[in-house]
Amino acid sequence: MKARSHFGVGIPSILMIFMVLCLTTFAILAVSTARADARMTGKNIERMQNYYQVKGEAEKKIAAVMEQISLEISNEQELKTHLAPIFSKGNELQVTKEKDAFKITFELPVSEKQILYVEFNTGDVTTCMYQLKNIEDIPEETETIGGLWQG
Amino acid sequence: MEKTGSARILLTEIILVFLFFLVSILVILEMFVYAKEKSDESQERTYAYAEMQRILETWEETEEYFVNWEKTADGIYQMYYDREWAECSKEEGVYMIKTTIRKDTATLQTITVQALSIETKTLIGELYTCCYKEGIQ
Repeated sequence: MKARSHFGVGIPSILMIFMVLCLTTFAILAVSTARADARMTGKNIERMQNYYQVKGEAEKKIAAVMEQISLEISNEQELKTHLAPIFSKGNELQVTKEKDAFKITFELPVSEKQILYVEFNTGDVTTCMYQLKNIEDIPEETETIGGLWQG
Repeated sequence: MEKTGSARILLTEIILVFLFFLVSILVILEMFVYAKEKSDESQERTYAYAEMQRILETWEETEEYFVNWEKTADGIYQMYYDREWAECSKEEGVYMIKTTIRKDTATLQTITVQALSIETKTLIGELYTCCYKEGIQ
């Protein structure tokens, strides 16, 4: 009696369908991951470009301010009036007298959700501070997790 | 006779399955190649922008940053990079970063950094910013 082969009609089709389905799933996953990566890279690059563009604008404003400073101004209000043409209303310009120099702060929009906060001292511009801030304030969490005893 | 018939059916099925599998593999392979290209492109852009950002930040701190860079007749600074984005000689270069510094006013400079692929002769990306510098030479 000869042993019968189990490799009958239909088995190759089932194997092929299984393999093609597996490979297609992996290929779709690879493509979607690559696309997500590309989208994320694009967003990061856009943010970086925006940041440096706005930082450049801030440096232009600092240069303009320093030109005004060279004129002899001793009063905060006087300086603010002189700087008015450089800044718009949304820039939230603030001038504070600090010893022999002025501390100047202003804001520039980076995106719909972020602003660039700039702070510098006219006595030493090298210590200029840049800070990215969110426009919408994050509300402080007042609720305790699961009503835990706080002591 | 019956045995030969079923063997023929099985053989025909195997041939058809093989042909269909070949076509499917071609399509799937194309998808994998697309994913690889897209991933490589993202990686290339990420590295290029990271390097350009590093250059911008360092230049803002130190004036003499471009001392070791090749300078063209137009005043453009050039640096060559290998596949791993490490600085290398012109001959080994796969990527190139071009930097242009323009003096806008007595105290303001604009820096433009461009990353290019030497192999494909394409622009990967560009970054620019202005910088206030007291006493520019």
